[in-house]
Amino acid sequence: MGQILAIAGNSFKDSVRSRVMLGVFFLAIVMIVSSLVLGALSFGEERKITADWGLFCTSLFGVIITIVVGIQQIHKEIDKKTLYNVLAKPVSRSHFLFGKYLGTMSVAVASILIMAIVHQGLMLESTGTFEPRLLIGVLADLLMVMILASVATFFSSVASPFMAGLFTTGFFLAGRWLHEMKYLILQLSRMDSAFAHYMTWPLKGLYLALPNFAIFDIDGELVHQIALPNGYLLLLAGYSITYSAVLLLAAVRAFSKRDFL
Amino acid sequence: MKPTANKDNTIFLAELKSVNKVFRPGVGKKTVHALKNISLEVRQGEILGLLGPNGAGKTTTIKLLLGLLFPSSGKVRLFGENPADPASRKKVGFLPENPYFYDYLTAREYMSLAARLCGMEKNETQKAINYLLEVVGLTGAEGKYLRKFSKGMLQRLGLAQALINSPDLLILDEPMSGLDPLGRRQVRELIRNSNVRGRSVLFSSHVLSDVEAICDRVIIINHGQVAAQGLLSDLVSRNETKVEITVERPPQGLKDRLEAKGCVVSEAGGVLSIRLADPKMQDVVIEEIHGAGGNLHSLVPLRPSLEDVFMKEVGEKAEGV
Repeated sequence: MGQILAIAGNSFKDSVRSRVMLGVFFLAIVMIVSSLVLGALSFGEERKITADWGLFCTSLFGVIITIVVGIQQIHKEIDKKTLYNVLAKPVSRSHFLFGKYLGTMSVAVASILIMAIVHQGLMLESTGTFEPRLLIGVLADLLMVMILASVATFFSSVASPFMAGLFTTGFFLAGRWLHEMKYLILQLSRMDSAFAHYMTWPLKGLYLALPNFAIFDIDGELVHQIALPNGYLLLLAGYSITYSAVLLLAAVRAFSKRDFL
Repeated sequence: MKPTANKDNTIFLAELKSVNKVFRPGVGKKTVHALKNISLEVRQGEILGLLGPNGAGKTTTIKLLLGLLFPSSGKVRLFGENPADPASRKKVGFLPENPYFYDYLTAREYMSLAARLCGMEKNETQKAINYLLEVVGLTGAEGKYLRKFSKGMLQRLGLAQALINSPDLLILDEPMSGLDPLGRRQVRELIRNSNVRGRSVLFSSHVLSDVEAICDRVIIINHGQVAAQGLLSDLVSRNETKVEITVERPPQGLKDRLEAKGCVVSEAGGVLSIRLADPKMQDVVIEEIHGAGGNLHSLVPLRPSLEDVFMKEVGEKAEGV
């Protein structure tokens, strides 16, 4: 465990000492703070706009930071050959990968939590009170980036950063629009053509394999103060842990067989 | 985790047995047979030099020993274990070729990371880090970010991190590359001192003088095969010794008479130099010199250097390619 934490801690330092990452994070804070301006322009919808825009920005930048950090972590080590120094020590490849995953997660969690604190501060400024209920949305974001970090770790352990970025972003977008994909499958299955028939099966496969990121989007319910189903967060946590574990095991399997030239 | 031993109880810390390594880069690209049926071992207590031209297979051999590459066929053992098992690397220190470190860390942070990766306890690391940074001459630079380090400083830090776990086997890939003469000397001393403390050292180089200066045993690799191996003294003495004879104020006609006997003769500044490839010829030549009334000035046996051996094994084969 000490080795995994050492690798994770090092990855965290890499990100927080990177000017690019600090730039992205600064932009995220500026975007969240801009909710005050948007709220002021909304004539009576100040609370709703500040809450909605803040949650949206936290979620969006949480995703961007996770993808950017996640796809670079492993490739950078291979490209700059720093990996040799790590794997020549008594460190297993699975520990290295878990460490990198935890490193990505630590950056994502720290960024999302800071953004959430800033957001709560803005809620206090605009409405005179904190809105702790909005933190449920932050928790959902954290569970979502848990899966996204495992997707990025998986792709970055088998592909170049460009391809890993493309696939991870593709996974995220497809996973976000899974409801639409379900609708498309339904429509195709009703059509009476060979093309529709042959398209249905791969789409059904994708529908089952892709992570359902749409279920983590509960901003609407939180902003409009609609109650969530009982145990919904527990369900999200179970889904997130299971999906991440499966992907990380697949990543370990692929990574363990790699030659490092 | 036990190293293996042969019949005469020589302990092998690392071994390659009939190893082949083939790289298949992908469709449309040429398959590279990097190592061809290579067998070698690193013995306890020795400094072994892995010598060969660029692209000979030295780094591939080292990466196989460390589990960074997998053999296409054959067997690799590190302390008697498969190098893919992390436990086999517990007592190994490694310095890669042209080491690149995390440049956002300070030297102390990097050493601390290396110690944690080796599973060392926090209380034992600080003392070890201070000592090693002093040994490699980086005291005072421990708080400096590695992006500000020169190549020589990085190389020395690389050596310090390789020694952090007090390894029994040090594997150094081109440890002198990029160092100035003073730096090279310091690294040579460091390798020697490590060996005196009982460490075995495997280091690769294409700089013959470095290998000749510190190695007990040498393995010459060329085109992925072992071209020659043995104790440095054996390798050198296995090759023919030449003799050089000089004659001051040579009598007229001596040069022609010696050349007629097949000797290589040159004359400069009134001194005749005769090089004999076959030392058995020296009695005949001396007799000829005395017979002609010449004055024998010197007779020097020319021991072949490692460079001669290397050129014989590598150079001649390269010409034949």
